[in-house]
Amino acid sequence: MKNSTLESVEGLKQKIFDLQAEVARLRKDYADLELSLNTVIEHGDTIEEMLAQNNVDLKSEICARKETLVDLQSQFHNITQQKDDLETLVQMVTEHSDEIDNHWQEKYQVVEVDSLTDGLTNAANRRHFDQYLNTEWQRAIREQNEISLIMFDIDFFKSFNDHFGHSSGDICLKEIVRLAQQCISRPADLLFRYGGEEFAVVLPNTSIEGAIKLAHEIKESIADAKLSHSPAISSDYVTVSVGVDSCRPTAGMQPLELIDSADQYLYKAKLHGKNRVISKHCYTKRNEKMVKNYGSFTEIKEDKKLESLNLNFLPCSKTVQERWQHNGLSADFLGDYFTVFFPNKNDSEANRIAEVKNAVSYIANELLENAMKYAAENCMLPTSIGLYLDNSTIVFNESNHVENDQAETFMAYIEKFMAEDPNDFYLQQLENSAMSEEGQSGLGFLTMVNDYMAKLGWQFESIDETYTKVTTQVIIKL
Amino acid sequence: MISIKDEGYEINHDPAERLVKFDGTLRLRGLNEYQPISDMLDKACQDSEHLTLNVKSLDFLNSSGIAMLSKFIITARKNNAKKITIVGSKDIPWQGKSLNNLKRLMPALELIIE
Repeated sequence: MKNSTLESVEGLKQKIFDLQAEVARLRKDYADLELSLNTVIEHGDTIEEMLAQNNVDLKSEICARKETLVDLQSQFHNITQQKDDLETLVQMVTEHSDEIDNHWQEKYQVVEVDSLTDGLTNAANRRHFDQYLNTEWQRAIREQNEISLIMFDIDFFKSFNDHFGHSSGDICLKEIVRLAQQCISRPADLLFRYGGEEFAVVLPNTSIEGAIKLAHEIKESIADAKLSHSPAISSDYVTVSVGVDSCRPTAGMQPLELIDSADQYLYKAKLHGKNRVISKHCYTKRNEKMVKNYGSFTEIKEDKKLESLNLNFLPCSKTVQERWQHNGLSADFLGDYFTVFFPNKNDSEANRIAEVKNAVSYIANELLENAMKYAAENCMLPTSIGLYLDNSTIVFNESNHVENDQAETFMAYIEKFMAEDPNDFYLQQLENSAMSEEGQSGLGFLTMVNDYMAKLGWQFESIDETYTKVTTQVIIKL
Repeated sequence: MISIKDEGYEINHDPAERLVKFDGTLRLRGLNEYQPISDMLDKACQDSEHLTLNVKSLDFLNSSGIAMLSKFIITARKNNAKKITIVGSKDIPWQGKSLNNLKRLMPALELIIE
């Protein structure tokens, strides 16, 4: 029992000790907890203060940022406006520049066209001619094509201007261009005012036959227009003389060759009475393929609607005579003329007249048939002033411009021809005196010739201006 | 009357009429050379609530010139109280499109093409 009690006391003591220890621990815990609580409370206060401060700061920042946003939005608006303005401005300047470009381009084109156009007639001008012919010439060389050139010149244009005045001359030039343009249909065929009253048509890829055909169309178109001419000349209406040539150029050849050649034919057209077309076909050997086989002279006449035939009576040089001598007479074509050379004889006046008449008769009866075939086929014969073979009326159609003082020399020359051997007759000498620039008035000469021819008993239908050589032109009414 | 004139062009500002009139061909090089004209326009705009620009006789205006005019219109637009009228000609090719474009910069601009 005592042991049991002791054990119980000891147990209680132990419990008390344990409890005291527990109390001490609890007190320690309490102190710790209290410290912790204070710490937490203090920390919480600090945090709260910090949060409160942060909140204030944030609110302040939000305000500042809102202000910044408004400012930025304003700036954005301004920048956007400026950007739009700049874009509009750039577009405006660009469009304006384009407009100005167009403006200058149009002006440039006008100037370019003007630089290649004749201001009076609106035909292409000489500068354009040089460029175009050169271009087409090179193309013809590359493609081995033919190229043709027509050159024509208004007949007696100086007389036209002298009579009607230069303003009418300008109108005439315009009309000639208009008429010629109407004949030209292919886009590559271009008409040019070559200079003064001279015109040119460049015909790329065109044969001589095509060019001659067009040349005749131009000549006829102008003649058919019946533009009144000066009464000082024999023709009532404005006409043109035309030279035509063609070639197939090769490397090394120059366009000037073609120009010179066509110009020479134009010169010959003037030489042989004007209002006609002359080309190398007039001078080349007769090509039988070109001669249409007419059954009779009447057929030719009707087919070609011929009204007259021009004959030139020409004092001949030895060379020419040798070429064309035939039964004491010589004859051949020179352009669209049938040229008769006087026989190489010194004869009486009566015999000379008889010889001329014989020549006319001979031509009409013997040579005319073949001559007409060739000439008619090539559209060479003129339709001009007529006269009748039966009474031997003669048109003296000289065009030599000779001053009065030179006329005497000229007539002496004719006298010499009549009196001496025609082989002593030098055409060059005649040309030197009669074709000089000073000798451009044929009135005195014509008067003297008229007297002389009247003395021979020849009746004149008309007397035209004189030209070049001592050529007596007889026009026979068909 | 205040004038700026040189070879080929003449610009006259008539304050009484509130009018700036352009004549001739304006081909100055760059905005710098246009500055005197720009200053004249700004001054004319400041002095008047309503300003008329007559370009009917301005045959030619280069790109710097249209840029100068555009900048003037933008400046005038920023001052909403200002009223601008431009009188142009239908016979001068550049004016049709370019003057119309100015209205894009200032919709309130009055444009009269005669």
